[in-house]
Amino acid sequence: MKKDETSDTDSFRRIAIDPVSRVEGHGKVTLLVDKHHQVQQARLHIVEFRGFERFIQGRPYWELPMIVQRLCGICPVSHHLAAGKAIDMLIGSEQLSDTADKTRRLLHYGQVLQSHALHFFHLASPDLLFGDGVSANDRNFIHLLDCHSEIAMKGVKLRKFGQKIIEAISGKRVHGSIAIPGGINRNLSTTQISSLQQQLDEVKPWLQEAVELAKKLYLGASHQQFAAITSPILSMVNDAGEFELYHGGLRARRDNGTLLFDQVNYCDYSKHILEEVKPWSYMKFPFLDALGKEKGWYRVGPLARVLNCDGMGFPVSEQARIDLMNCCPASEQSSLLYHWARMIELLYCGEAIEELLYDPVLLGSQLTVEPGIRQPECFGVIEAPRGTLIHHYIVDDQDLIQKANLIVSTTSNNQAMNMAIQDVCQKELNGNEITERLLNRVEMAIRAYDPCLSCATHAIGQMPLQIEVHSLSGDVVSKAGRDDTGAFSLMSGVSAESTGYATAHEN
Amino acid sequence: MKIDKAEMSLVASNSSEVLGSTRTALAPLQRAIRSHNQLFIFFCGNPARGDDSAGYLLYETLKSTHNQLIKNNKLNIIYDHQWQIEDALELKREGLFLFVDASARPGPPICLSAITTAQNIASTSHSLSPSQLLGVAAQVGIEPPEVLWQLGITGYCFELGAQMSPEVKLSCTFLIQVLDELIEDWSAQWVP
Repeated sequence: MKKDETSDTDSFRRIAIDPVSRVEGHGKVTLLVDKHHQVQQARLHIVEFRGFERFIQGRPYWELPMIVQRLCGICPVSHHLAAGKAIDMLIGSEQLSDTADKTRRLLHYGQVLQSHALHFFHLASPDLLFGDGVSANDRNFIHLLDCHSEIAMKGVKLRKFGQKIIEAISGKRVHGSIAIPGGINRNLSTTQISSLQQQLDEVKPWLQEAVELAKKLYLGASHQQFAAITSPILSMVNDAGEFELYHGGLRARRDNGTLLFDQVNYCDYSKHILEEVKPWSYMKFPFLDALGKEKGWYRVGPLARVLNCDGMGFPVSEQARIDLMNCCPASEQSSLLYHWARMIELLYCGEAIEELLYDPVLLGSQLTVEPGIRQPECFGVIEAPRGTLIHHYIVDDQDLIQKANLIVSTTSNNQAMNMAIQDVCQKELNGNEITERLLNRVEMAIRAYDPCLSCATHAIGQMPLQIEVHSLSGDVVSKAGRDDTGAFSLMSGVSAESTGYATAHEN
Repeated sequence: MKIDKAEMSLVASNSSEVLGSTRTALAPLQRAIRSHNQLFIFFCGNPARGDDSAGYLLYETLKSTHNQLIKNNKLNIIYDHQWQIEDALELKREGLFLFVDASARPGPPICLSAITTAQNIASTSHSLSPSQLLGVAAQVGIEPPEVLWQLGITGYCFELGAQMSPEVKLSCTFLIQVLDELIEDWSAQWVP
C-alpha cells in the first residue's frame, strides 16, 4: 500500500485526534488502522489556511519585514530578518555595515534563545520531567513551577533574557522593527548593552545546565527509540562548514550521513527543493529533488543543524555537540533527540550573544549602506528556531510584490512529523483503545519538532482535547474528549470506563 | 497610532462632564498613588485588534510624554500584547502597580478595580490575566505588590484589523489627560 492511498477501504478504520494539545494552531491527527489493529498511515492535518503568500502580493517591498513577521508570535524576528535579508538583496545592498550585520545577528540569537527556552522548558519539559505518571491536568508548565520550581524558573528567566534582547534592539518583545533596506534603523546604546551584559551574567551558568538536563532526560528515560526515524537533513552552514544561524550556504545529507550537496547558494534553493501539495492538508510537502518524492523528504531544525555542521564555532557548545555525537550514533535519530540538540543551540546562542555584547562595533554609527543595482527577484534565508526558513520574492517595476514563496520550517518537517506519529502509534496503539498516554505521546512526537503549527502564538497549559473516530465514509462514529478543566468526558457512543479510555469503534 | 493633541483638547474642552467622571473613577488611584514612591504601569493589548489597541495607545502616549521620568527609572512602564509567565517576574512587593487594558465586558467606559490573586491557574492558555499573573508570582515566591489596581477600558470591537471605536478613543483621550495629571502629581511629591 502506498502511503497516501488505501484501495481496500473495507479493511480499515480511521481515528482522529483533534485538536492536538500543547501545540499551538489547529492541527488534527488521523490514524488509519487495519483489521489487525496495525497503524498503516498517520496524517497530521493542518487545517488552518493563512494565505500570506497571496495577500502580500501588491504590497510595496519595504513593508515586507513588518508584514511577514505577523506570521508568527513565537518567532516573528526570524520572518522579519529573512524578509530584511531579501530586500537587502533587492536593492543591491547585501553587504551590510558591521554594525548592522552584528546587531541583526544579536537580535536573531536572542530570538532563538527565547524560543528554544520556551519550546524546551515551557512546552516539552512537562512530558520529560513528569512522564506519564501524572494526570494530563497536571502535565503543564504551571505544575512544573510547583514541582520543579528551580528548573522552571531558570527556563522563565532564560526566555525573559532572550525577550529583553529583542525588546532592546527592535523596540518591542513581539513584532518590533529593526531591519530596513540595507541595514538597521537604530542601534543599541551603551546603557542597553551594559544592562544586557549584566543580565547575561545571571543566566550564563544555566545554559550549560540546560544541556546537561536535556541529555540526562533523554538518556535516562530510554527515549532512544521514541518516534525514531531516519531521514535526510538540511541546514545552513558557514563558509567553513560550521554551525550557522544567520547567513551561509545550504548543506544536505542523505539519511546515511553522506553529503548530498554542500555550500549551495540559497538563491538556488528551487533547483534542489521541490514542493508537493496533498489534498488533506494546507501545508505543503517539500522534498529534495535529487532523492525524489518518496525518499526526498527531509528534516530541518536543531538536530539537523547539529548533525549537519562540522563544528559549532564556540568552545563550550562544540564540546556539547561532540558529546551528543559520541553518545548517540548517527543512525539513532529519535525525535526526542531534537530537545538535546535544541539546548546545545541555546548554549551556542549564549556564547554568540556574549561575544557580540562585548564587541564595540555594536555602537558604530554606520547603520545603512548605499543601495546598489536593483534586482527583480530576491531571497532571504535564515535558520529560524525550528529550522531553515526560505523567503523568495519577485518585485515588479513599481516596487510591488508580484509573487512570494515562503518555505517555513514547519513545512519542511511536515513529513517527519507524520512519520514520527506513525512510529509512535505502530509501537503503542494497543488494539482498539486510544489511551490518554497514547494521545500525549503522539503530541510529544509533534512537539519535538514544533509546538507552533500556526506560526501564531503559544500555549503553556492544556487545551481541551477531542478524539473522534471516523468511518471511511466520513461519519463520526464516536467522540470523546476533555472539558475546560482537563477532565475526561464522553460525548457520544463510546464505551469508555472511568479509566479515561475512549474505545474506538471499528467500521 | 496617536491621538492628536489638538483633537484631544477640543474633545476635552467640550466634555468637561466626561472628564469629571473620569477623574471620579480614578479618584481611589489618585489617593493611593501619593503614598507610594514607586509607580509601575503595565499596559496590555494588541494594536491590530480594534479597541484592544487602547493599552498600546496609552503606553505610547505616556512613554513619549514622560520620557525623562522613564529614562531616570522613576516611572516604570511596561507593554505587552498579552501577559505571560515572564511578566510575573516584573512584580515586587513595594510600589503601586496599575494594569491597563481594554475590557470586553459591558460596563462603564472606564472601570478601576482591585486585583486579587487567582488560586487555580493550572488549566490556562498562554495568555494570563493580571490576577493569574499574581498567582504565578505567588507560586514562584514573589510577594504580591502592596497595592495593585486594574484599569479597564470598556471596548466594543476586537476584530482583527478593526479600527478603534469612537467610544474608546474618547475614553483614551480623557485617560491620557487624567493619567498625565496623576503622574505629574505623583512625581511632584516623590521625584526630586
